[in-house]
Amino acid sequence: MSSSNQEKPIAPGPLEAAAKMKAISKQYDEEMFRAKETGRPIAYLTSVAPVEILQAFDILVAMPENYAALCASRKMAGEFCDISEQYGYSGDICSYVLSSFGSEFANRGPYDGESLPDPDLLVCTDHACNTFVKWWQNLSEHYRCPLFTVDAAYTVGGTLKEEYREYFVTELKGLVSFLEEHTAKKLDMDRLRDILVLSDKASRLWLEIGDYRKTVPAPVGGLDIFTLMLPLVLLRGTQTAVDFYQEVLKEVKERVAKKIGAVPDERFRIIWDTFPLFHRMRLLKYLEDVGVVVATDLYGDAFSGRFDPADPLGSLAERYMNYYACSSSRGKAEIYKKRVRDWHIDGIIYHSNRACRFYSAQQTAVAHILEDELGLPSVMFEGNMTDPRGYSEDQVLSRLQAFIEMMEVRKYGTVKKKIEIGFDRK
Amino acid sequence: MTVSEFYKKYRNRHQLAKRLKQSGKKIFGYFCLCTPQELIYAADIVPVRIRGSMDEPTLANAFLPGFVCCYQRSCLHEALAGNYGYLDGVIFSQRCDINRDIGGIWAENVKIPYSWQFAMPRKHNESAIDMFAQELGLFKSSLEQYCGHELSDESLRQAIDVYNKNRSLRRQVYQLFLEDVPPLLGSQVFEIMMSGLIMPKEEHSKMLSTLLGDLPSRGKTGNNPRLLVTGNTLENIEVLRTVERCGGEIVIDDFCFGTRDCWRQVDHNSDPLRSIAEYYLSKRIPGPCTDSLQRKRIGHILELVEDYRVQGVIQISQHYCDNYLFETPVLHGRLKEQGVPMLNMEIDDTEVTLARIEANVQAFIEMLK
Repeated sequence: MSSSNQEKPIAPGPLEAAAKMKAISKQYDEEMFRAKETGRPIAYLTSVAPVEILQAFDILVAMPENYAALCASRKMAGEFCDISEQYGYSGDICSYVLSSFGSEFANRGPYDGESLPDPDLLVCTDHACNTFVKWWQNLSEHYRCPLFTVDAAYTVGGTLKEEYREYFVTELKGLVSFLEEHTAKKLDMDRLRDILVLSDKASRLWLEIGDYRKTVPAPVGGLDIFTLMLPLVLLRGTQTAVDFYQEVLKEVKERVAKKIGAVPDERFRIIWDTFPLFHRMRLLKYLEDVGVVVATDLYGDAFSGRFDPADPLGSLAERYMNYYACSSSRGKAEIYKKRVRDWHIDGIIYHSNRACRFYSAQQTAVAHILEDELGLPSVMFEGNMTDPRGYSEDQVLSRLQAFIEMMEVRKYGTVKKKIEIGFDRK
Repeated sequence: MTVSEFYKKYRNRHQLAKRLKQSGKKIFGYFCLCTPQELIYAADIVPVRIRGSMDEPTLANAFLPGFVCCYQRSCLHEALAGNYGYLDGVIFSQRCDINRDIGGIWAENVKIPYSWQFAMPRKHNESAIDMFAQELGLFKSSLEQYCGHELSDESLRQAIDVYNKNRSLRRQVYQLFLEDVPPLLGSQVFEIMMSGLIMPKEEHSKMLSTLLGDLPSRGKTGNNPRLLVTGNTLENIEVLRTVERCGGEIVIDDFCFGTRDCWRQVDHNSDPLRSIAEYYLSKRIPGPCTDSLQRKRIGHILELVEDYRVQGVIQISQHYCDNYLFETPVLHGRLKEQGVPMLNMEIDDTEVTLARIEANVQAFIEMLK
């Protein structure tokens, strides 16, 4: 057999499919910047929200949260957060807000110097954090732009009551009326059903990829996963997202068949709770370099959800109200207990994200439950998902070092291999 | 009766509660002022607002990070320290992120015989009121099961009357400050309003009636700038006394337990449960966490500024309240349009530095003069 017919060997490290992300992002950015000339309205939408309905109206959806994460990865967020503070915003609020507002106030950003295009419409949901609603209130006054808030009333820690679901469905109908009014189009329910089929498919693929991470060694780690979730966040409901995750899944299955992991020498498998540090993703690389792989996490799962096209608005309501981040601390702990067992987890890293009280408020309580009931090694460090000001890598690495040694002692009885995390720091 | 009697009751709130228990009363604690207290009252249970303290909340640190609501951290500390062991139940609301989360944390770590969390829409339209009335119907059923008898429409109307009377008396206290020389200090009004949170409403109304019938008189006050104080919750009254020592005349407030809680009344109509739902959802002056897009709270502040001839606004909010933090630049801008300066101070009741507050307030008042 000639060498040209041999299969390309699979190596540990980032997935090859990850390289396709650039093209997907580029295409999306181009569409966004062409939207006004092509007559497509741009809507700013909160991230865990019914994007599918807006897609059915052919609205270009932009997500300021995603944009803020991009600013962070391009090392612009620190300056933008500072600018927002000069405009009177507290440094203690969500740094997605500070970063995106600061970019708007400064009138520049990471798109070759340009910031996110202005919205024509604003849509937010009230089923997640208070920040969403207050942020979008302020956006509507800043841009003098029509706003629709999808209200949600529900309690946590129990089953979704019928009245809560009905109220959300009523609100979704209100959203449809709002979009019909502002786009001069009627909702094409068949189109919405098709979009839900695609969104459902993309979510199934995502969850299946997540399931394969149970394998030892894990075929894909946190560094890839937090990047690969972009189509799920922005483009769920599109064929692009489905095609992409089919490729990712194919590659993941190949790795699993050949027992190739995300890291060459997988020593420890961890949960990362919850936000990565978008301004310093290299932190995850440092972990992988010393054989620590993020085998599972909940962050990406927030953007996945199952739909029943036979009941579009009803299943949209159920999917968006069954958002794990709205569980009680016991609820979240039980999810993690299952993850620890099924994903063969050695330890948990809690990123106590000052910029998101919605996610971080229960974290200490969840850690307390897991410590009591599982006794698993864990470490918690305070950080910020977007704002790099105040980030001390030395402190974080020193805590992670101690954590790795804790896992080592638990697994091997001693520190077998002295490794310094971040040894090739730049 | 002197004004100081009110604050004495507040400071001795736990002893007061224990005496009520000894007399056979049940007590439910709540956090958020959008809790429908009339329903609890109709079940012959005394609703009291759970309060923190000025002690360092060390016990809560095991369950909450340092950058969340100081009030909730302090309340959790008080509960873990056993200071709320007398509560027969605790009511949680869904309206703010922390309030929603805290229910699960209390359930895991504090022994509570009965608890209920109620959902609350953010919108104030008919559909939202219908939804909230349904939700309160569920709460009512739960209370009926707890207390073993029906909460009739008559009992709800009676509860509405008791609470409306108290609201009316509290509003009368605020009306005293329309005068150039009010008979009370703003910090004394704070004491009066805080005391109403921890005792049966009839008792508070009786004290208010006595006070209003026999008001003290103050001498000439000087030309102190008239101030409105706004904020979420406040435990440390010295903060307000500092403002007064610096020469500020606090003439009105926009606290959740202050004017917001007594400016409007529950309507009487054929469906008292719906009236209660409508009051707490759309009639009561909302705080930032329950406010609709109409910015009713800011509208309320601007009306008070005009009616009470306010020259400056001081916001004193507890650290890390996202709802306030988002609204602050907007409030600042709206007041600026009216030519009213605003001083914003974030504090943590458990670690207040009065000297720093004095320096900020002094400079603000000098500027107003």
